[in-house]
Amino acid sequence: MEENQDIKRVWTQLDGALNEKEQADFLQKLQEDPELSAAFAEAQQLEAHLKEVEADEPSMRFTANVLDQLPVLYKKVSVEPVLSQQSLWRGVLLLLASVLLSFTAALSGTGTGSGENSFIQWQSYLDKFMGLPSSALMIAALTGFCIVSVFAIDQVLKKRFLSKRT
Amino acid sequence: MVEDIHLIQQVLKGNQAAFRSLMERYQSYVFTIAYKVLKNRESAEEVAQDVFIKVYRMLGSYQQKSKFSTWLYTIAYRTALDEARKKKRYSLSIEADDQHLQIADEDGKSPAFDLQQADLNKQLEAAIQHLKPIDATLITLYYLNEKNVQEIQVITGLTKSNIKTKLFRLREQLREQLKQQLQEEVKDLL
Repeated sequence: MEENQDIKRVWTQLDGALNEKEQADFLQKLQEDPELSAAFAEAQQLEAHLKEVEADEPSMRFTANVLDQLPVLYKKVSVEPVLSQQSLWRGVLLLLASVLLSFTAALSGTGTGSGENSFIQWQSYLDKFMGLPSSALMIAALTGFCIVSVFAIDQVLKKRFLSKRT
Repeated sequence: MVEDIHLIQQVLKGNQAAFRSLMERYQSYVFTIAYKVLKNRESAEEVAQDVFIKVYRMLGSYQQKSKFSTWLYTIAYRTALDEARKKKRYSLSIEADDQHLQIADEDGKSPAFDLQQADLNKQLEAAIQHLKPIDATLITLYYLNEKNVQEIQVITGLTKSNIKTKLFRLREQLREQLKQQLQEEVKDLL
Protein backbone atom coordinates (compact mmCIF):
# COMPACT_ATOMS: atom_id res chain seq x y z
CA MET A 1 0.00 0.00 0.00
CA GLU A 2 2.79 2.35 1.04
CA GLU A 3 4.75 1.38 -2.07
CA ASN A 4 1.76 2.08 -4.30
CA GLN A 5 1.38 5.52 -2.73
CA ASP A 6 5.06 6.21 -3.34
CA ILE A 7 4.74 5.23 -6.99
CA LYS A 8 1.70 7.49 -7.31
CA ARG A 9 3.80 10.30 -5.88
CA VAL A 10 6.46 9.61 -8.51
CA TRP A 11 3.99 10.39 -11.27
CA THR A 12 2.42 13.27 -9.42
CA GLN A 13 5.88 14.78 -9.01
CA LEU A 14 6.56 14.35 -12.73
CA ASP A 15 3.20 15.98 -13.52
CA GLY A 16 4.27 18.89 -11.32
CA ALA A 17 1.23 18.45 -9.10
CA LEU A 18 2.88 17.99 -5.67
CA ASN A 19 2.66 20.94 -3.30
CA GLU A 20 5.76 22.33 -1.62
CA LYS A 21 5.56 20.18 1.51
CA GLU A 22 4.70 17.01 -0.40
CA GLN A 23 7.58 17.70 -2.74
CA ALA A 24 10.04 18.14 0.14
CA ASP A 25 8.85 14.88 1.74
CA PHE A 26 9.09 13.08 -1.58
CA LEU A 27 12.64 14.28 -2.29
CA GLN A 28 13.67 13.26 1.22
CA LYS A 29 12.23 9.78 0.71
CA LEU A 30 13.88 9.57 -2.69
CA GLN A 31 17.28 9.92 -1.04
CA GLU A 32 16.53 7.31 1.58
CA ASP A 33 14.83 4.66 -0.58
CA PRO A 34 16.96 3.26 -3.44
CA GLU A 35 13.99 1.32 -4.90
CA LEU A 36 11.91 4.46 -5.09
CA SER A 37 14.86 6.28 -6.56
CA ALA A 38 15.20 3.61 -9.27
CA ALA A 39 11.47 3.75 -10.00
CA PHE A 40 11.69 7.55 -10.28
CA ALA A 41 14.61 7.30 -12.73
CA GLU A 42 12.64 4.80 -14.85
CA ALA A 43 9.57 6.99 -14.77
CA GLN A 44 11.63 10.01 -15.80
CA GLN A 45 13.09 8.03 -18.68
CA LEU A 46 9.65 6.85 -19.78
CA GLU A 47 8.25 10.36 -19.50
CA ALA A 48 11.04 11.71 -21.73
CA HIS A 49 10.40 9.02 -24.32
CA LEU A 50 6.63 9.53 -24.24
CA LYS A 51 7.15 13.21 -24.97
CA GLU A 52 9.27 12.28 -27.97
CA VAL A 53 6.75 9.93 -29.54
CA GLU A 54 5.70 11.45 -32.85
CA ALA A 55 2.28 11.77 -34.42
CA ASP A 56 1.29 9.31 -37.13
CA GLU A 57 1.13 10.88 -40.57
CA PRO A 58 -1.75 10.34 -42.98
CA SER A 59 -1.09 9.74 -46.69
CA MET A 60 0.30 12.46 -48.96
CA ARG A 61 -3.09 12.80 -50.69
CA PHE A 62 -4.91 13.44 -47.43
CA THR A 63 -5.29 17.22 -47.68
CA ALA A 64 -6.19 17.12 -51.36
CA ASN A 65 -8.77 14.37 -50.75
CA VAL A 66 -10.53 16.44 -48.11
CA LEU A 67 -10.41 19.67 -50.10
CA ASP A 68 -11.90 17.85 -53.12
CA GLN A 69 -14.84 16.77 -51.02
CA LEU A 70 -15.56 20.07 -49.34
CA PRO A 71 -19.05 21.36 -49.93
CA VAL A 72 -19.25 24.89 -51.20
CA LEU A 73 -21.08 26.05 -48.10
CA TYR A 74 -18.91 29.03 -47.58
CA LYS A 75 -18.35 29.93 -51.20
CA LYS A 76 -18.26 33.68 -51.54
CA VAL A 77 -21.56 35.01 -52.90
CA SER A 78 -22.48 38.41 -54.24
CA VAL A 79 -23.98 40.71 -51.65
CA GLU A 80 -24.56 43.61 -54.03
CA PRO A 81 -28.07 45.09 -53.69
CA VAL A 82 -30.55 44.26 -56.44
CA LEU A 83 -31.13 47.97 -57.04
CA SER A 84 -28.02 50.08 -57.00
CA GLN A 85 -28.16 53.55 -55.50
CA GLN A 86 -27.56 55.06 -58.93
CA SER A 87 -30.40 53.22 -60.67
CA LEU A 88 -32.70 54.08 -57.77
CA TRP A 89 -32.07 57.80 -58.21
CA ARG A 90 -32.53 57.44 -61.95
CA GLY A 91 -35.91 55.82 -61.29
CA VAL A 92 -36.97 58.61 -58.95
CA LEU A 93 -35.92 61.28 -61.45
CA LEU A 94 -37.75 59.46 -64.22
CA LEU A 95 -40.88 59.31 -62.09
CA LEU A 96 -40.70 63.00 -61.26
CA ALA A 97 -40.13 63.86 -64.92
CA SER A 98 -43.16 61.77 -65.92
CA VAL A 99 -45.39 63.47 -63.35
CA LEU A 100 -44.13 66.87 -64.42
CA LEU A 101 -44.69 66.12 -68.09
CA SER A 102 -48.17 64.76 -67.54
CA PHE A 103 -48.99 67.78 -65.39
CA THR A 104 -47.77 70.17 -68.10
CA ALA A 105 -49.65 68.22 -70.73
CA ALA A 106 -52.80 68.31 -68.66
CA LEU A 107 -52.52 72.07 -68.20
CA SER A 108 -51.76 72.84 -71.83
CA GLY A 109 -54.71 70.65 -72.79
CA THR A 110 -57.11 73.07 -71.09
CA GLY A 111 -56.11 75.84 -73.53
CA THR A 112 -56.18 78.70 -70.97
CA GLY A 113 -52.58 78.89 -69.75
CA SER A 114 -52.87 82.27 -67.89
CA GLY A 115 -52.17 82.78 -64.17
CA GLU A 116 -55.57 84.32 -63.33
CA ASN A 117 -57.40 81.15 -64.08
CA SER A 118 -55.11 79.00 -61.92
CA PHE A 119 -58.01 77.60 -59.89
CA ILE A 120 -59.77 76.49 -63.04
CA GLN A 121 -56.52 74.96 -64.28
CA TRP A 122 -56.12 72.94 -61.09
CA GLN A 123 -59.73 71.93 -61.25
CA SER A 124 -59.27 70.90 -64.84
CA TYR A 125 -56.20 68.86 -63.95
CA LEU A 126 -57.97 67.14 -61.08
CA ASP A 127 -60.96 66.42 -63.28
CA LYS A 128 -58.73 64.81 -65.87
CA PHE A 129 -56.95 62.81 -63.14
CA MET A 130 -60.20 61.66 -61.59
CA GLY A 131 -61.45 60.80 -65.01
CA LEU A 132 -58.76 58.12 -65.43
CA PRO A 133 -60.11 54.56 -65.25
CA SER A 134 -59.77 53.06 -61.75
CA SER A 135 -57.82 50.06 -63.10
CA ALA A 136 -55.07 52.37 -64.36
CA LEU A 137 -54.81 53.99 -60.94
CA MET A 138 -54.70 50.58 -59.30
CA ILE A 139 -51.88 49.42 -61.59
CA ALA A 140 -49.90 52.58 -60.90
CA ALA A 141 -50.35 52.14 -57.11
CA LEU A 142 -49.36 48.47 -57.24
CA THR A 143 -46.28 49.20 -59.33
CA GLY A 144 -45.20 51.86 -56.86
CA PHE A 145 -45.80 49.53 -53.92
CA CYS A 146 -43.79 46.73 -55.57
CA ILE A 147 -40.82 48.98 -56.25
CA VAL A 148 -40.75 50.18 -52.65
CA SER A 149 -41.14 46.59 -51.33
CA VAL A 150 -38.32 45.21 -53.47
CA PHE A 151 -36.05 47.96 -52.29
CA ALA A 152 -36.97 47.39 -48.62
CA ILE A 153 -36.60 43.58 -48.80
CA ASP A 154 -33.28 43.95 -50.56
CA GLN A 155 -31.97 46.20 -47.80
CA VAL A 156 -33.23 43.93 -44.97
CA LEU A 157 -31.84 40.73 -46.52
CA LYS A 158 -28.51 42.34 -47.23
CA LYS A 159 -28.21 43.53 -43.63
CA ARG A 160 -29.21 40.14 -42.18
CA PHE A 161 -26.98 38.11 -44.51
CA LEU A 162 -23.93 40.25 -43.84
CA SER A 163 -24.44 40.16 -40.06
CA LYS A 164 -24.61 36.31 -40.12
CA ARG A 165 -21.41 35.99 -42.09
CA THR A 166 -19.33 38.19 -39.81
CA MET B 1 1.88 31.76 -36.49
CA VAL B 2 -1.66 32.80 -37.37
CA GLU B 3 -4.09 32.02 -34.55
CA ASP B 4 -6.75 29.36 -35.05
CA ILE B 5 -9.59 31.78 -34.51
CA HIS B 6 -8.35 34.09 -37.24
CA LEU B 7 -8.19 31.16 -39.66
CA ILE B 8 -11.70 30.08 -38.64
CA GLN B 9 -13.05 33.56 -39.39
CA GLN B 10 -11.38 33.44 -42.76
CA VAL B 11 -12.94 30.04 -43.51
CA LEU B 12 -16.37 31.37 -42.58
CA LYS B 13 -15.85 34.16 -45.09
CA GLY B 14 -15.29 31.57 -47.78
CA ASN B 15 -11.51 31.34 -47.74
CA GLN B 16 -10.67 27.70 -48.45
CA ALA B 17 -6.93 28.35 -48.21
CA ALA B 18 -7.46 29.15 -44.52
CA PHE B 19 -9.12 25.77 -44.05
CA ARG B 20 -6.15 24.12 -45.72
CA SER B 21 -3.88 25.83 -43.16
CA LEU B 22 -6.06 24.58 -40.30
CA MET B 23 -5.95 21.09 -41.73
CA GLU B 24 -2.22 21.10 -42.19
CA ARG B 25 -1.83 22.22 -38.59
CA TYR B 26 -3.96 19.44 -37.10
CA GLN B 27 -4.26 16.58 -39.58
CA SER B 28 -1.52 14.40 -38.11
CA TYR B 29 -2.99 14.73 -34.60
CA VAL B 30 -6.50 13.94 -35.81
CA PHE B 31 -5.18 11.01 -37.80
CA THR B 32 -3.22 9.75 -34.77
CA ILE B 33 -6.32 9.82 -32.57
CA ALA B 34 -8.32 7.92 -35.20
CA TYR B 35 -5.47 5.44 -35.65
CA LYS B 36 -5.18 4.84 -31.90
CA VAL B 37 -8.89 4.04 -31.74
CA LEU B 38 -9.25 2.04 -34.95
CA LYS B 39 -5.81 0.37 -35.15
CA ASN B 40 -5.99 0.42 -38.94
CA ARG B 41 -4.42 3.04 -41.19
CA GLU B 42 -7.02 2.97 -44.00
CA SER B 43 -9.96 3.26 -41.64
CA ALA B 44 -8.18 5.95 -39.64
CA GLU B 45 -7.53 7.94 -42.80
CA GLU B 46 -11.17 7.72 -43.87
CA VAL B 47 -12.33 8.77 -40.44
CA ALA B 48 -9.85 11.65 -40.29
CA GLN B 49 -11.15 12.87 -43.67
CA ASP B 50 -14.74 12.64 -42.43
CA VAL B 51 -13.74 14.58 -39.34
CA PHE B 52 -12.42 17.52 -41.37
CA ILE B 53 -15.48 17.56 -43.62
CA LYS B 54 -17.69 17.53 -40.52
CA VAL B 55 -15.63 20.32 -39.01
CA TYR B 56 -15.95 22.36 -42.20
CA ARG B 57 -19.73 21.99 -42.11
CA MET B 58 -19.98 22.69 -38.39
CA LEU B 59 -17.44 25.48 -38.13
CA GLY B 60 -20.19 28.08 -37.86
CA SER B 61 -21.41 26.41 -34.66
CA TYR B 62 -18.00 26.48 -32.92
CA GLN B 63 -18.60 28.82 -29.98
CA GLN B 64 -15.07 29.12 -28.56
CA LYS B 65 -16.12 27.62 -25.21
CA SER B 66 -13.00 25.48 -25.44
CA LYS B 67 -9.84 25.62 -27.53
CA PHE B 68 -10.37 24.82 -31.20
CA SER B 69 -8.04 21.82 -30.85
CA THR B 70 -10.14 20.42 -27.97
CA TRP B 71 -13.32 20.83 -30.04
CA LEU B 72 -11.63 19.21 -33.03
CA TYR B 73 -10.22 16.25 -31.06
CA THR B 74 -13.62 15.68 -29.46
CA ILE B 75 -15.15 15.31 -32.91
CA ALA B 76 -12.23 13.11 -34.00
CA TYR B 77 -12.41 10.82 -30.98
CA ARG B 78 -16.20 10.39 -31.15
CA THR B 79 -16.23 9.85 -34.91
CA ALA B 80 -13.51 7.23 -34.59
CA LEU B 81 -15.36 5.56 -31.73
CA ASP B 82 -18.59 5.45 -33.77
CA GLU B 83 -16.66 3.91 -36.67
CA ALA B 84 -15.07 1.32 -34.36
CA ARG B 85 -18.50 0.36 -33.10
CA LYS B 86 -19.78 -0.02 -36.65
CA LYS B 87 -16.92 -2.19 -37.79
CA LYS B 88 -17.53 -5.80 -37.01
CA ARG B 89 -13.92 -6.79 -37.37
CA TYR B 90 -13.24 -5.56 -33.89
CA SER B 91 -14.57 -7.52 -30.99
CA LEU B 92 -15.97 -4.81 -28.90
CA SER B 93 -17.08 -5.24 -25.38
CA ILE B 94 -18.11 -2.50 -23.06
CA GLU B 95 -16.41 -2.92 -19.74
CA ALA B 96 -18.73 -2.46 -16.83
CA ASP B 97 -16.34 -0.36 -14.78
CA ASP B 98 -15.07 2.26 -17.19
CA GLN B 99 -16.99 1.73 -20.39
CA HIS B 100 -14.01 1.54 -22.67
CA LEU B 101 -13.45 -0.63 -25.68
CA GLN B 102 -11.58 -3.92 -25.51
CA ILE B 103 -9.83 -4.69 -28.75
CA ALA B 104 -8.87 -8.16 -29.89
CA ASP B 105 -5.32 -8.62 -31.10
CA GLU B 106 -5.47 -9.00 -34.85
CA ASP B 107 -2.66 -11.49 -35.38
CA GLY B 108 -3.37 -13.64 -32.37
CA LYS B 109 -0.34 -12.49 -30.39
CA SER B 110 -0.78 -11.75 -26.72
CA PRO B 111 -1.46 -8.09 -26.02
CA ALA B 112 1.99 -7.94 -24.48
CA PHE B 113 4.08 -5.72 -26.61
CA ASP B 114 6.47 -6.84 -29.26
CA LEU B 115 9.51 -5.10 -27.95
CA GLN B 116 12.24 -6.55 -30.10
CA GLN B 117 14.87 -5.04 -32.34
CA ALA B 118 13.64 -1.49 -32.44
CA ASP B 119 14.67 1.64 -30.67
CA LEU B 120 12.92 2.65 -27.51
CA ASN B 121 10.69 5.27 -29.08
CA LYS B 122 9.52 2.84 -31.74
CA GLN B 123 8.94 0.24 -29.07
CA LEU B 124 6.92 2.70 -27.08
CA GLU B 125 4.87 3.64 -30.14
CA ALA B 126 4.19 -0.05 -30.71
CA ALA B 127 3.31 -0.49 -27.06
CA ILE B 128 0.87 2.41 -27.19
CA GLN B 129 -0.62 1.11 -30.42
CA HIS B 130 -1.34 -2.20 -28.69
CA LEU B 131 -3.21 -0.56 -25.84
CA LYS B 132 -6.98 -0.52 -25.74
CA PRO B 133 -8.36 2.34 -27.89
CA ILE B 134 -9.34 4.53 -24.97
CA ASP B 135 -6.01 3.94 -23.21
CA ALA B 136 -4.00 4.67 -26.34
CA THR B 137 -6.05 7.81 -26.89
CA LEU B 138 -5.49 8.99 -23.31
CA ILE B 139 -1.72 8.64 -23.58
CA THR B 140 -1.77 10.30 -27.01
CA LEU B 141 -3.85 13.23 -25.83
CA TYR B 142 -1.78 13.71 -22.68
CA TYR B 143 1.68 13.54 -24.23
CA LEU B 144 1.39 14.10 -27.96
CA ASN B 145 -1.43 16.62 -27.99
CA GLU B 146 -0.37 18.07 -24.62
CA LYS B 147 -3.90 18.16 -23.31
CA ASN B 148 -4.54 18.50 -19.59
CA VAL B 149 -6.95 16.31 -17.60
CA GLN B 150 -9.79 18.81 -17.91
CA GLU B 151 -9.49 18.96 -21.70
CA ILE B 152 -9.26 15.17 -21.92
CA GLN B 153 -12.46 15.04 -19.90
CA VAL B 154 -14.20 17.19 -22.53
CA ILE B 155 -12.85 15.08 -25.38
CA THR B 156 -13.50 11.60 -24.00
CA GLY B 157 -16.41 12.19 -21.65
CA LEU B 158 -14.59 10.32 -18.84
CA THR B 159 -14.49 11.72 -15.32
CA LYS B 160 -11.38 13.48 -14.05
CA SER B 161 -10.68 10.82 -11.43
CA ASN B 162 -11.12 8.08 -14.00
CA ILE B 163 -8.65 9.80 -16.33
CA LYS B 164 -6.09 10.24 -13.53
CA THR B 165 -6.43 6.60 -12.46
CA LYS B 166 -6.11 5.36 -16.00
CA LEU B 167 -3.08 7.55 -16.70
CA PHE B 168 -1.38 6.28 -13.57
CA ARG B 169 -2.14 2.64 -14.39
CA LEU B 170 -1.07 3.01 -18.02
CA ARG B 171 2.19 4.72 -17.23
CA GLU B 172 2.99 2.09 -14.63
CA GLN B 173 2.23 -0.61 -17.18
CA LEU B 174 4.56 1.06 -19.67
CA ARG B 175 7.23 1.57 -17.01
CA GLU B 176 7.14 -2.13 -16.19
CA GLN B 177 7.52 -2.94 -19.89
CA LEU B 178 10.41 -0.54 -20.17
CA LYS B 179 12.06 -2.04 -17.08
CA GLN B 180 11.75 -5.57 -18.44
CA GLN B 181 13.12 -4.50 -21.78
CA LEU B 182 16.13 -2.84 -20.21
CA GLN B 183 16.79 -5.92 -18.07
CA GLU B 184 16.68 -8.11 -21.19
CA GLU B 185 19.09 -5.82 -22.99
CA VAL B 186 21.52 -5.94 -20.05
CA LYS B 187 21.26 -9.75 -20.04
CA ASP B 188 22.02 -9.84 -23.78
CA LEU B 189 25.07 -7.66 -23.28
CA LEU B 190 26.40 -9.97 -20.54
